[in-house]
Amino acid sequence: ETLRYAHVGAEGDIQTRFAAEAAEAIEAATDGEVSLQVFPASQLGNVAEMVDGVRMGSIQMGHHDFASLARIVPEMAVFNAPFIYRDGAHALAATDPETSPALQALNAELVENGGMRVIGRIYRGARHISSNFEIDEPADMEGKPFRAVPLDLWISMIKGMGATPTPVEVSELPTALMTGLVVGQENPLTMISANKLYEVQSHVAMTGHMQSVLAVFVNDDAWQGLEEDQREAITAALDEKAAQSLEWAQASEADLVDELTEAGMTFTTAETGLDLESFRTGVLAQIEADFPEYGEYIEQIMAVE
Amino acid sequence: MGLILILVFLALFVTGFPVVYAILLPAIGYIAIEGLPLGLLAQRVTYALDSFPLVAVPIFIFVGNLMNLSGITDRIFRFADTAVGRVPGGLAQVNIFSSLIFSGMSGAALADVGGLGKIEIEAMKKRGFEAPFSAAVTAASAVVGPIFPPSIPLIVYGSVTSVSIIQLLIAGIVPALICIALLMTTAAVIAIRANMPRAARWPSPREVGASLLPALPALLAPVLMIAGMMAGLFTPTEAAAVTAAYVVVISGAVYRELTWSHLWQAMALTLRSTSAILVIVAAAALFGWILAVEQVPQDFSKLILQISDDPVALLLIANLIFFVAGMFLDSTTATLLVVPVIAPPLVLAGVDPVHLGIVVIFNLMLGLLTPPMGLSLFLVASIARISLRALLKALLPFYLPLLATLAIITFADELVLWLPSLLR
Amino acid sequence: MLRQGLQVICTVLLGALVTVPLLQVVMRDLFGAPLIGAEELTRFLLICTVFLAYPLVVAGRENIVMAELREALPDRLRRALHRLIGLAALAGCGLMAWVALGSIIDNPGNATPTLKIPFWLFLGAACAGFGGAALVHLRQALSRRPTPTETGAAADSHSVSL
Ligand code: NA
Ligand code: NA
Repeated sequence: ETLRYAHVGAEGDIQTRFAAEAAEAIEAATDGEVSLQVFPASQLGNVAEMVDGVRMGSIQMGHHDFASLARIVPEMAVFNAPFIYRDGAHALAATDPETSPALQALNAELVENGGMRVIGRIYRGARHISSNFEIDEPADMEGKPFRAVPLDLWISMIKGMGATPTPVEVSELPTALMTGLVVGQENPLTMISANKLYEVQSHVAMTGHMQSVLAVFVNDDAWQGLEEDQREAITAALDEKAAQSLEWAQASEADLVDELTEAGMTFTTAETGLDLESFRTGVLAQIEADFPEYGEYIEQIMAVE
Repeated sequence: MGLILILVFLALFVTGFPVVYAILLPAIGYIAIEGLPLGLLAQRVTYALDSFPLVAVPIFIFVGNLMNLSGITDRIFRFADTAVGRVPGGLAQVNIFSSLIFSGMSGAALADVGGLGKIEIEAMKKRGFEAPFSAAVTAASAVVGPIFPPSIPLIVYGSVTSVSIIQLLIAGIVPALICIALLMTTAAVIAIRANMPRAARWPSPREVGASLLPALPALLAPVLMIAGMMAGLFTPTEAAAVTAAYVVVISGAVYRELTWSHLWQAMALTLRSTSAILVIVAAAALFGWILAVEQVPQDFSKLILQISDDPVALLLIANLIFFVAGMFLDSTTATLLVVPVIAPPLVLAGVDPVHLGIVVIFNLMLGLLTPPMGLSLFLVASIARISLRALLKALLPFYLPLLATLAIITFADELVLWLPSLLR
Repeated sequence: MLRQGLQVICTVLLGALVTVPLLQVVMRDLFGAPLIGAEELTRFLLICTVFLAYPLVVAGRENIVMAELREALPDRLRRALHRLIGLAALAGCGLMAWVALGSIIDNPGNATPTLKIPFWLFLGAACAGFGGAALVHLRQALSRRPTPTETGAAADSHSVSL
């Protein structure tokens, strides 16, 4: 059995390494009975098309932000919500398809409404804010144009930070930052480095406002078409890779801070006076106002050990 | 299977099936044979057009139609003709040089052809140039559009390979200038040999000034666009829309030559040109999806890369691969499918990724000028209302300066990397 | 009549396609209040415009084609080829329209992320565009009138023929 596995990650990103290594691990774990043909870098289409492709079955597997599944189950975006995880390990525990009550409830809806299910996850690092000036508190961002991923959740979050959410496509982001169309953006350090945003941005505020966890999803018909022991082997392989992705991300974050500092970026942290608490308060208040339906899931997520 | 698909496409294409069906029919056959969900057909062609940069194409086609119908073109060319009409080649030189100026506001070759190209061809025909020569000059000079910044293909390349986009954009400036110089030389040689029309004498400063004034609002458009984009006021696609609004206001309020009938006519023309071109882009996306699943570009590249690991030899091979890819695929599809496979081994072998980006994009832009899938050829021939054969014949001498530019770009990497190195 | 109506709809869509990015520039740069979802709306307009205008392309025989070899064929063979291409185009467009309709029925709830524009509008445009094109191809196949390329009038239309 060969499954087509698509994702949008570029060469050098943690998610690209994850997909390549997961394909090897799954082939080994199933004695070659199941193999993945990985299509990175949007080869089989952009995010929306990839999700629709998995739903339809033209692609069997893929991974992306949980929020990309919100087009089928709107509450899935809750796993991308800012300031709900204590750290990376908590984020992985709270998105474990085997044990997370919130994910299990929403996964059932995903199977029901979209014919697809989440079977694994990837930890891709914490998201931080980069900008053309120093940021210590939300007031520093007040009324300034910041790039928002064009999804409701991000727009709400950027608003909660006090800035003006401005939609910019990821391919236009470096140019938009260079010309000043937007003065800042937020992403994991791995993305800031891979896309050379240090050429157009001077500061990074280490807010860690979001833990970037990506969902690994599969077409449910294709999934049910596998043998029980094959499914177990795949789940176990993905779980092991998820734990490894956390190690990769944590190891690389320290290196990336050094690398980006060398490239000329200035980091602000809680130690240098970054007011994390006012970010947390502002953002959570805005999210609560805009997404009251997330409440019960956020409680469940926060309760996970 | 991938090879069969390509052969069927070529067979249908050659026997006179409209391009969109020559692509669509084998793709439908593949999906039926492989038992893939039929919904993929509808999904892929729809999502292919779900692209903000593509929006610039109809808007620039519209701007071109509108400028033509409302008399702005004539003013620009009266000025240009007065200023440099005495240079051998006359309006052909103006055509080429204005492409350089236009490329400062446009990131896509097809937008150059659809907007400026229409104006240029009409004006040259009015001045007594033969339609095929006018079309050939337009098509050849449009290659510069995505090399000189801004450039949508270079931005796509940069995001696929994680190469610095600023470095890529700046690296394009010198190659674009070289290309323009070689094209102008070629046009001058052809014009002198064929004794083509040029102005009888050089203009007086007074005459230049008198023709400049009516053209000034129109000439200011690209300047405003470049300044606006540099200042972060708008993206390239938004710049297209701003240009459209500017043209409507200028021709309506300043020149007072715009009528509702002009507007309606320009819209109708734009609709049909846009749809004819973009349904092919949609169908090509489906075809590209299947080729990717069949691993055709990947297998092909691996085969080639077994031959050598010398950077110069690999660059020559890359030239070949991307020239061929450009013949069959649109530049975005080719960039997305082939670059991720070719670039890593080349970079490992020591090729500078910025240098490679310029080489790749220049090749893909040449692909717009080569059959069978030369979208630029189709568009220019359609605008000039000439046959493809006539266009290709007139275009033949212009492949020489274009290929010479490619050779310079390929071998003189320090020339390409000189400007970006100032920023490193 | 039908053609005029389609022309009007497409023109309105094209007008909006130019206006929305313009409005975005004004709102963002002059008022500091960017419109959320403007890019999404523009892309939506592009998709609808391209597909809905496609029957106009077919009706005007403006599809891009390399017809050199075909037109050089002996008369009977050429006419047979014309018929074959017409029928293949009819079948292809018909299938595309049918598939688009099927996709609408399969996923009625699908929508764009920000503005929640229902996908059936995109797919509906594709369905109507290919469906309309199929009807035009059918009419062209039934009509006894020679095609423009046959009468040598190609230079007057927008189509590229060798
Ligand atoms: Na030109
Ligand atoms: Na080509």
